[in-house]
Amino acid sequence: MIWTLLACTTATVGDSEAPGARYESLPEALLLRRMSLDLRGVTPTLDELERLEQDPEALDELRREFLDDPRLEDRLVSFFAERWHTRLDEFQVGAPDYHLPGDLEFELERSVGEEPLRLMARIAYDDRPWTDIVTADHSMANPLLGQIWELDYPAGSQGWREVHYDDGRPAVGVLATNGLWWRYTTNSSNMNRSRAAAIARLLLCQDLLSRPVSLDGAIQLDEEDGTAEAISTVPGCVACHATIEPLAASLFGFWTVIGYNPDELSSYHPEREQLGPVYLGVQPGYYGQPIEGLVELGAAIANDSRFYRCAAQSAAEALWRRPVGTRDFRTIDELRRGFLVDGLLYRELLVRVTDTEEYRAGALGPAATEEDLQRERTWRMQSPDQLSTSVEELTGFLWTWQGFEQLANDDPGYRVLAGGVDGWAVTRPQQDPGLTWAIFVERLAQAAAAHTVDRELVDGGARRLLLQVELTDRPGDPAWDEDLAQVYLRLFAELPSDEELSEVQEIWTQLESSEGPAEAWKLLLSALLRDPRFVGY
Amino acid sequence: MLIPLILACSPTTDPKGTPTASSRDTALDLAAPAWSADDAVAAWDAQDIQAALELNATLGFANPESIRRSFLDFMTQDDGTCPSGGENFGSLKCTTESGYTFSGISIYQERSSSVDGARQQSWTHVGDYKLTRPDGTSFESGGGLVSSATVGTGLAEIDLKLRGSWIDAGSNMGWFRSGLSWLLLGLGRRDAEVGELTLDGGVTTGRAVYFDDVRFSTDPDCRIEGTLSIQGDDGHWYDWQAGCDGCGPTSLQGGEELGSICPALDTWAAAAMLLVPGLEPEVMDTGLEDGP
Repeated sequence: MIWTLLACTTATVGDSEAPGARYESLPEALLLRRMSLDLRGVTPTLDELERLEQDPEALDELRREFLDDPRLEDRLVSFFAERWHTRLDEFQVGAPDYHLPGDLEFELERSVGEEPLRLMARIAYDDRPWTDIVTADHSMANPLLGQIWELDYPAGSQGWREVHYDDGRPAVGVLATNGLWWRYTTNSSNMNRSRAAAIARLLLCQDLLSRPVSLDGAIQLDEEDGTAEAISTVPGCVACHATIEPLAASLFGFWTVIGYNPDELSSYHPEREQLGPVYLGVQPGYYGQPIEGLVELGAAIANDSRFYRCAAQSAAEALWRRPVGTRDFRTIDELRRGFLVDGLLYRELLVRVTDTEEYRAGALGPAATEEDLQRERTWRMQSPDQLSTSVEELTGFLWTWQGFEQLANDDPGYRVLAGGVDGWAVTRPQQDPGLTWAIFVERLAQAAAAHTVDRELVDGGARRLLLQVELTDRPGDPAWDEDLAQVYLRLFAELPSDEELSEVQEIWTQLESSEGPAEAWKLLLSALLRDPRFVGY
Repeated sequence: MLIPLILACSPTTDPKGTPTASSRDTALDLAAPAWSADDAVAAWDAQDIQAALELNATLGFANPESIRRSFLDFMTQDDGTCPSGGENFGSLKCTTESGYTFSGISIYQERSSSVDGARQQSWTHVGDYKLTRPDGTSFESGGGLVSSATVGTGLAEIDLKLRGSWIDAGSNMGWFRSGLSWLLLGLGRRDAEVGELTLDGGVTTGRAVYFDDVRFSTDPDCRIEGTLSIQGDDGHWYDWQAGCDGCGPTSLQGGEELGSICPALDTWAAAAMLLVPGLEPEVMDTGLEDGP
């Protein structure tokens, strides 16, 4: 399979690059497909491909339409989820704790985990300044969250809407969401320190845990008193904890007495804000600057230059599908400056990232180094979220089981097997195909193919993927030939070569003779749906 | 203001397209902190603080004894099978014959002893439950309460540790009906002349207040003393340095001074003193102890 993918990657390379380039761009149609999958989660329509064929300049216009598409919000939620890790399968409380039926467990987990992500996605989609993610006075909720938490979610409404908590929490955007702090929990020893580290990592791209630490062996870290003393006296500890302790001291409004109690977890506790200095022995602060507490933390972050660089870096990582390294410094800095010039509008940042040669690369060029070969992903795997939406759009098939979306969880679903992030044990998306991924893709393709053939050809349902062909049509009949062509375009954004077309016709005919036309279509479609040209982009 | 600055600092490149050092430095300056904690401006004045303190006081003073009574009232509905375990129950969900529903976990312990003529009474209650009456009103808890009292003829003392979230929609007390969240320590004592209660920690009943070594007293010359803080609508805290005359200066916490106030909190302070038990009735001297 991997060799097939590499061969495929080579086959899709454009050939009009200047000599000596590090990257060779994708052909326009495949670039359109990449943008469509990244920004909408679906492959381009036939009409969109036609527009691009008629006018290559239409790419920018189509990208703008993708950015205006409401599905962008879902895509942003997926991007953010890979980094923020809030879409867990299990929180400290679940549906039974709220006296909800068990079949709402998935919806509850999903809703809680998406609360901060939806807030960021809505701010991005609405072209509000990115600083709103740490200064907004509202959050986002759907009907389920509106039911279980003290929110002003309008009765009878549907979908995700802006809401306000009524429990005294300050206006600090995602920093005041339950969903963030249900993911990043703490305890009486940790005292919000892990939460402080999460803020540094998520909003400033400062991973305190990655700093080298040299400890004197005499430090008694197995004793609480020894640890507490070391934090404030040992240089190797102070280096990080001088930052962590004041940040942690600002987070005690989310301190819980019983960490698995729904009342304690659902509400903010403003009276506990004042306990930070009592428990930690330091006043709230932000990298050496005194702050009054959580109420001023959002403004402090919004005025930190690292916040903007981190936004640019994380957007690049999401769209390049790889971590950013030191070699990317200049590009990231240009993105950051562009972000500032654009007034901190996240959609404009997406435009800038999708303009980078790293994003548009279809293959490495002659000037590429061995390091480029190791790190660049000129062929990207569709994420589980992308596979879910693109397959559903094409075939109508959504893989569910007892209320669980199987590509969106790992208990009992297949999110990690499909290359995704569970936010706990797996924190980076899979970048290269693997055995379990291949098995998963095979089963998904089979199920989706069977679903679409049964509904569209056997049961006579509404046409979605096979637009005109009937079970009586054979290769060479116009309906058969035209449908195969449009399936190729919709799945791969390209037509089959004459040689491939001939092979497909022959295989279908052989299958039809032994299994009948419905099975032949199922087998053909399942092969196409797991083809690297579909599952990759 | 920000936009012109941003535009003025848009990236420049040399002829080869390489960002120059100066352009990068300027761009970095763009995002340099333009804000500091010193910029915080009080949204409230002294009168706002007084009004908030007085309004909050109308909800009453949260009393753990009321929470305990509410819990024990529920336990009188125990029908032997629901909830199993009596006051120390663990029930996924059960409904008694009389229509009361128990769901969750409870621990309740009560101890009483007598030492040197003084009664020692302590009780501990940990709740992670939702209890529902037949009329649909619920009592929900997520926390723990510890009360240790010693009551004698000349002296009563109490040590309180009050934590977590408590709400009883069926209560006739405002603070309990609207919900209560606290992390609070209390030490009280009462003798024949005066009673006093010192509180450290925070309580949210309607609005969040924080007691920093605040002492309530039955002494008419000093009903309240210490630093009492209350949270404003903007999330900032406002301090009131209560003096024995019931007056004192206010300020934005860590910031500007806002003037002196004398809030009417006598009723509230008296309610706080209810947390301290009364003295035992004095034993009548019958003159019989020595006997014939």
